Amino acid sequence: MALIDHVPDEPSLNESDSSELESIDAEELPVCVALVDVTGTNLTRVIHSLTCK
Amino acid sequence: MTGDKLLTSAVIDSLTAAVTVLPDTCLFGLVSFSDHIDVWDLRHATPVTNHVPVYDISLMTGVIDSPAVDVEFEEVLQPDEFFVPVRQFKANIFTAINSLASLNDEHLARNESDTPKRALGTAVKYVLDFVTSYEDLVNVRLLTFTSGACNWGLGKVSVGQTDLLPKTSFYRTMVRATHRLCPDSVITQAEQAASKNVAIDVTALRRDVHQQLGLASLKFLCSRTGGHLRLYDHATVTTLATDLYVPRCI
Repeated sequence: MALIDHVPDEPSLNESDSSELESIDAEELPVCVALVDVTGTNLTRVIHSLTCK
Repeated sequence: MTGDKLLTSAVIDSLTAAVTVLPDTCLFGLVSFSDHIDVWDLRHATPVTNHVPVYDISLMTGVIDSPAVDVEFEEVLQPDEFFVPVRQFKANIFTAINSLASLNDEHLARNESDTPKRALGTAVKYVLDFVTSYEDLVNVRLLTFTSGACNWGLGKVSVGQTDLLPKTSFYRTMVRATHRLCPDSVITQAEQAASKNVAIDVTALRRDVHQQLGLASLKFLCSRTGGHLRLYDHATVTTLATDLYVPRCI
């Protein structure tokens, strides 16, 4: 069973942001995905501690 | 980034530069990886990450193409949640990118007793399976940053005395695709990407000239998808951001 943990108490989207997302037509839009190696950084530890409470 | 402040700073600057030159209509998503994968939710002002464990199944089964992740990307975030338009969420994107720097800890990395686990191959496959499963996503650029050889999950690269020959066929030859469009087909990572107009850039950063990163194996991701393979070290990394600050990212 995998764990998918979300950091709690985050602000939710406001209405204007939601409407912007719903209006997106992904067809033909350029898309960029950044895949970043964080091995050995403190980020790994911090995220782990946040998600494994 | 292995805790190296100079290399970390270069990644932050180059990512910032890359996002800066993205067109406003572009959709952007951020994924980080180490011994697991973190899928970032950029809709929030404060970065929110979703933790996805990566298993090294080959240690238990000896089967190299066994799934290393048992949760679908869509179970973590839907496309309209993961991808955010640059125009509306540029500030959130920059906050997330900068958080990589603020949390870096060189001292921690230097004192790691074990070799840090790096699930690069699994992370690439995880993102590729996701973006290639949607017909609407036809113009995708995958900017990949790595600072070491993959040593966990799929596509592990054994480090030998030379880095000239491919150490694994994972990135080049047949792997079993698991995405929804062709669950039973067998295609290569690069073919899977190129068939959906996904170009893969791999930017490799090394601490010294003797560090091996498995570029002979990774190069197929770039050479067969129209992407760029870049290699930097401490002496050359200062040009990384300007190299990416070119309006050809997409």
